[in-house]
Amino acid sequence: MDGMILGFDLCDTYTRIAISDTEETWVIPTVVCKDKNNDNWYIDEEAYEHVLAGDGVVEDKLLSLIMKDGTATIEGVRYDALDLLKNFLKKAIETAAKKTGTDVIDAICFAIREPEAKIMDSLMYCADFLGISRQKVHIISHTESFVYYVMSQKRDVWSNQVGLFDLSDGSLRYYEMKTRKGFRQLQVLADNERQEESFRLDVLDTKSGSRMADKILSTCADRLLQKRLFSAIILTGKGFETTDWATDFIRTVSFRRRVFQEHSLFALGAYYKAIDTTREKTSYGFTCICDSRLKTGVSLKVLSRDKEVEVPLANTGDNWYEAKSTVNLIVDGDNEIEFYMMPMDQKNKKSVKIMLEGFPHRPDRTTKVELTYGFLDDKTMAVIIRDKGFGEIFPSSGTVIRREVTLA
Amino acid sequence: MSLILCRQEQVKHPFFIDKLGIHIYSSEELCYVIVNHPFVAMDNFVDEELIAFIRNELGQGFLAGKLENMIAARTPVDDMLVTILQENDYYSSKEIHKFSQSLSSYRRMNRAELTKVMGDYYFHQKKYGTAIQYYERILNEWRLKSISNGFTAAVWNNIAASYAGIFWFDKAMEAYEMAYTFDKSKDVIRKMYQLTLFNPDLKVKDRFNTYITSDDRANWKKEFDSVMADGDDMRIVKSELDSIFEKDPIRRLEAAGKKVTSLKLEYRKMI
Repeated sequence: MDGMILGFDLCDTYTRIAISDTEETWVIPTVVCKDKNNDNWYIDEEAYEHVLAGDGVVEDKLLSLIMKDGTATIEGVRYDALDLLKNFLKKAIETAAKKTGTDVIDAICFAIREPEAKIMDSLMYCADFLGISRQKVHIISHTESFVYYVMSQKRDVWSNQVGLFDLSDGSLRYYEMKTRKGFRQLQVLADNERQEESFRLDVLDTKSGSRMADKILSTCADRLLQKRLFSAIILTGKGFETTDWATDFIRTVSFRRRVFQEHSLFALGAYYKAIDTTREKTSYGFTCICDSRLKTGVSLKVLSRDKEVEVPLANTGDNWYEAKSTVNLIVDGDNEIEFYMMPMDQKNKKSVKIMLEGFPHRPDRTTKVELTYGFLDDKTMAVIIRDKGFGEIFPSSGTVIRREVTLA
Repeated sequence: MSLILCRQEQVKHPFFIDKLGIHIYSSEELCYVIVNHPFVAMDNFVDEELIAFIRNELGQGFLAGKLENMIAARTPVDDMLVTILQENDYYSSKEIHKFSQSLSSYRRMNRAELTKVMGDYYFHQKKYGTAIQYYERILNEWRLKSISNGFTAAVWNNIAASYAGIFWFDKAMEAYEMAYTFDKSKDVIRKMYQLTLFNPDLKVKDRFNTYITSDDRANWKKEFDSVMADGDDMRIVKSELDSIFEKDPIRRLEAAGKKVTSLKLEYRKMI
């Protein structure tokens, strides 16, 4: 394949991009500028140049704007958040195309801090706008990106637990992952937690501020890591661009542990994931369990050759945003559909029945239903069941049932 | 409760079953028709057209090939029907076995009995025209193979009922008269009398009238009125017509037009 492979670490304030071949990464602010006089859009330095020249209007915090269905009015024209994001991504991809010398995209993966369905939907709409096939677009959380980054390193980096501190302006997050042998293949469990001990990065401009920040972080690290064994601790984020101010913290985290700094970790993780999607068979033989993956599998029991067999709709470790499909089923017996939930801890398995209320009574096996399912997050499945009737023999009643099912 | 996963079938050209007046769009519907309408399936159902539908629309080339070989080898149609059911996994093995046995039991009947059962089946499906064809087939063969008077009377009786079903009352009356010649039953005279209540232009012939007492007339009239009052079909049609006449004049005309078209279609299916 000759096209680009792109990894985006898409945050509200900045975006870091990794591209194929060179593995070069660069960072740009997540802002877009609209020319006041024409329909030209700009990003990065060009955006600020136009603002300084007085002929551009800049819009920032694009992801927050998406989340609150925000709009921006520029020179009397209203743009919704999706328009702004589309233009931002268009320009960012054009920059990548200039660097690689091709505008063909083989795969693109976005890493976002929280796997929010609204942002994920918006990114898919952007892909449609940019003419990128949805099959080539993947969206993962920072946690999953962290997993892909770590699992792309040598085994001794992830032979034990791995911790990650992400320090940015006003935000401190701690990520942790570990591997364990699963029934069929290796399982990687990863999670993250926003820490209350965050601070604005401008406190580091003064000596007293730096000392206070160092103390805060080292106390936090002490509490999180305790005396546990880690094969690696990784530091990322703007706050760790230099660590001169964090001597106590570095001492705490490096006690009998290796410490790495990687500022492009999430962009590279997304990039590794994007590469993997272009391969016929994945190079990552593990099941990932994190916030963008399902912790509970869902299946149906169907009759096949006189036997009841389980048909999985989604498996544990599937990306919940991508786990969506439509199946046609024929109902035999009671007018209901039973879903079987299989969490990682099999003791907690359960089943949930959805009664086909409002469906007409017909003889057995003459009600065909179209079952469309998807996931709103890692804990909620959304189901739409449509009465398809049974051809001209029993025409459809047009009844539609919509339900949300809690997985565990 | 169980579920069956439907096959991925993109049927662009559905298969029309003339005798039922319906199109089928899937392998599940095909199996349903075979089991629930065995007399349609037993009667030259598996032909080139069906095999082409199975191959091109249902995407079951293997089954289509198998059926072609069976036709070439002059395999009985019942075996071909069972093969279709087995390949499609819509019915269980137990149900397919039961169906196969019911086909065998039909095949064990003599030709006249089987033809009557088929005629009765179409009668119950309100396919009165097709039912009459089957009943007449028995009578045409009567000269070749003797059948009892009771059986012949039952056939004429059903022909009469079929004609009545398509509002062809004078033909129905003739058929009842024929039924009476084979079975001198007062019940046949009752039906003739009740036919005249449907259509006052009709008259029961004098030779039958002599058997009808005034009490009979009163009882049969009462019975007729009660059946008419209780008829579900009548009630449904009446409520539909009531709802049409509740609408404003423009929508009333539109709804009435639709109703007339649907009744015409229904009637065409009957004949």
